[in-house]
Amino acid sequence: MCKKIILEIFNLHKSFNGLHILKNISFDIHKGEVLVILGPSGSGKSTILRCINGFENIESGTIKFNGEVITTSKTKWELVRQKIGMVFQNYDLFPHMNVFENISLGPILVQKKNKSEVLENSRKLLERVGLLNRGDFFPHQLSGGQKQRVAIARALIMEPEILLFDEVTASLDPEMSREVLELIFELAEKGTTMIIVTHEMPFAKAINDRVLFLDDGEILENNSNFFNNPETEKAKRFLDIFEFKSHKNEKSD
Amino acid sequence: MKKFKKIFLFCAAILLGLTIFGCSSEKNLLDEIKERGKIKIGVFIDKFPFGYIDTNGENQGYDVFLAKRIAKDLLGDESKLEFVPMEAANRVSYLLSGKVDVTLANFTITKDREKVVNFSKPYMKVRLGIASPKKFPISNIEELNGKTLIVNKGTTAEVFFATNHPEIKLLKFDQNTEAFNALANGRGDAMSHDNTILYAWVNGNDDFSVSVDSFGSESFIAPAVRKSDHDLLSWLDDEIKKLREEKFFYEDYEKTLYPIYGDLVEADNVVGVY
Amino acid sequence: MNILSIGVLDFFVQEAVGFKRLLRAFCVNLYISLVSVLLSIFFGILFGFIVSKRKIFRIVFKIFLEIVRIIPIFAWLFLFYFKLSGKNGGLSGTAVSIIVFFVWGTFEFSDIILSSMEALPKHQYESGLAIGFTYKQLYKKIIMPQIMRMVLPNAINLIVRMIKTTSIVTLIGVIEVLKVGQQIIEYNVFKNPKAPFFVYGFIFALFFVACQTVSCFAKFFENKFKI
Repeated sequence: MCKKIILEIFNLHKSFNGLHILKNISFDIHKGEVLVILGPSGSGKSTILRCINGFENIESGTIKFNGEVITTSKTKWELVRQKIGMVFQNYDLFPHMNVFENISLGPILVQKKNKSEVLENSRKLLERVGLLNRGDFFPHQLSGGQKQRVAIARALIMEPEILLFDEVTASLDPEMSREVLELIFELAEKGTTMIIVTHEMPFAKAINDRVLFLDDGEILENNSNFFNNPETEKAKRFLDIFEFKSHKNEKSD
Repeated sequence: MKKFKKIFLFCAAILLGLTIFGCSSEKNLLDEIKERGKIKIGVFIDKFPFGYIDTNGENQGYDVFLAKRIAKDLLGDESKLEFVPMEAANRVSYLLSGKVDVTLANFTITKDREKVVNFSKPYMKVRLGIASPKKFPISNIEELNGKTLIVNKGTTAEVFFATNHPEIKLLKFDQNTEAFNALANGRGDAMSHDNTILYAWVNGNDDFSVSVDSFGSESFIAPAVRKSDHDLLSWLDDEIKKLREEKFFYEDYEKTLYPIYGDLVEADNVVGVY
Repeated sequence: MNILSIGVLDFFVQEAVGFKRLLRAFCVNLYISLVSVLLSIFFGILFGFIVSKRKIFRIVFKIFLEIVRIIPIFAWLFLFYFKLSGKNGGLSGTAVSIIVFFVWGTFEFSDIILSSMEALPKHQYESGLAIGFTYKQLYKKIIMPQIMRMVLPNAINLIVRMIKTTSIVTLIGVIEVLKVGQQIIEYNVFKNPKAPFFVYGFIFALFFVACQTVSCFAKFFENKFKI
């Protein structure tokens, strides 16, 4: 399967306050691929996403999107971000607008699309995320899971080529997490290119085409069969954290 | 942007400096006033009947009557006069900062004030009195011990008691009306003020009387000028002397104070020989 | 000649002129308020945004703000009018009043803007940018409406406070409504000691109307911009 390479990252280095956060990061993404980035806290997972989307500066290295270098000083990030969407842990909907307005603001204002067309698409998207009857609600009237789904819809309506997810279920309880993760799953099945940073291991295992395992700012593994066959010791120890070897009620007689 | 900011700050500093130091001239004030064609006199605008505003918005009062005569004698016309409204608290500031040439705001001569300004010849006498309810009269100062005395801020009465009898509890008000209302409402046991004013008030308030007609020594009211304006001071000294000979102050009293005091007060007690 | 007792009705008739004088004097208060408030809003917003850019600006700003707040307004008025004027007069009382109120108002407005900006969650900026907004679009559609929601009640408070404080300018010789009120009351000190009731009552009504107008205007502003 020779899918087109849509994003390329070469030799990315990033420092902050004297700390070397990202060390020589290099990887590619193909169209339609779901890449999951795993690793202990502080290993730089979110930072990679934020570099891709221009929210962090880099010291050296290149990022190419569809063959074009986007890490120059002249990059118009507002154009890049229309193609590379991002959903954050703190969803942060715009509190002074209702759900419809939150979703439709992007296409109307930024992409200058026709208003009725946008509203129609918004409706379709809301239906897809299961929130059609909440269109007139304001963010403070929604639950965490609902807010996050609106945030995803808000990112989707821009029709990006890649979607970045930065620990989007970290502030949600299990039921709400589930509804969000299921939505992301659907997107994956429809062929959306995604890079996901998450701690939800079962979900990561089910959804990934490839895993990037990070530790202390370095890529230790770039593995399409990570969960069944981790290559490095550190990766094995990391996966062990999520396993419980014995069952409480299993007592040998 | 940085360069523009620098230029702006520089200009602002220059402007400030100019404002502070002004264009100080060494000319004497009298000549300056004549050149200016206008004399700036500080008066009260809410101290009836010495300096106040009537219903037509005009300055009136005992001090104001004198001010108009001064303008007429100095510059030829009563209207070559600018009244600058003053409060008791800022009379000295207005004078020292050059915003007025003379203060005629019922300014009592005191030793402390003589240190900072020069007084001309007096044009009014003041004696302090005490008013109290007829039911519980206060006949002398000793009886005020342990009692509350109402005074008006910035007056001779306030200064007298604050200096000579700090043990007496004072209840101070900004305006005469407030002070009188407090007396009428029983907030204080007595009130001390210029006895002429007290007489005028008890006349319309039968429950009260001027129980102490006068105490302490006489105080004198005079115009005040800055220490450096000797020429204006000499002119004022001569002028007041002249006006006294003319019995001008009796006329002033007749026009501005008699309608209030009626026959309760002798004109001589206010404008008489000093 | 006894002019010592005049009835309440007579007072009203005689003092109709007085009420007109009070109204005219109130225009002085309104003039000082209006000019200084408008200037303060403009420069306050500008200042607020500039100061929010760097931490060092904020620190210096807070120091100056405290100085302006700790020293009472009348002390500033006194200082500017008497101490910092030239030998031959200097600025008029009204001019000094406007300057002092303008400086006070600007600092307070800047602080309101600054606090509102600090209160706005940082993520709002990123959420907007992530959809592809330019900074201009972000500020116009996302940041400013939210900041204005927080700013408006505090701004109304400040404007009302400034209007009420204008009476203080009496100290530097500006004839405003409270002073004229005192003139009328003192003129009636022997004739009608009940004068304060009517005069202050009327003055209260004037201030009340002025402040209510500000509140109404704010509501109108709120609705117009759908804040």
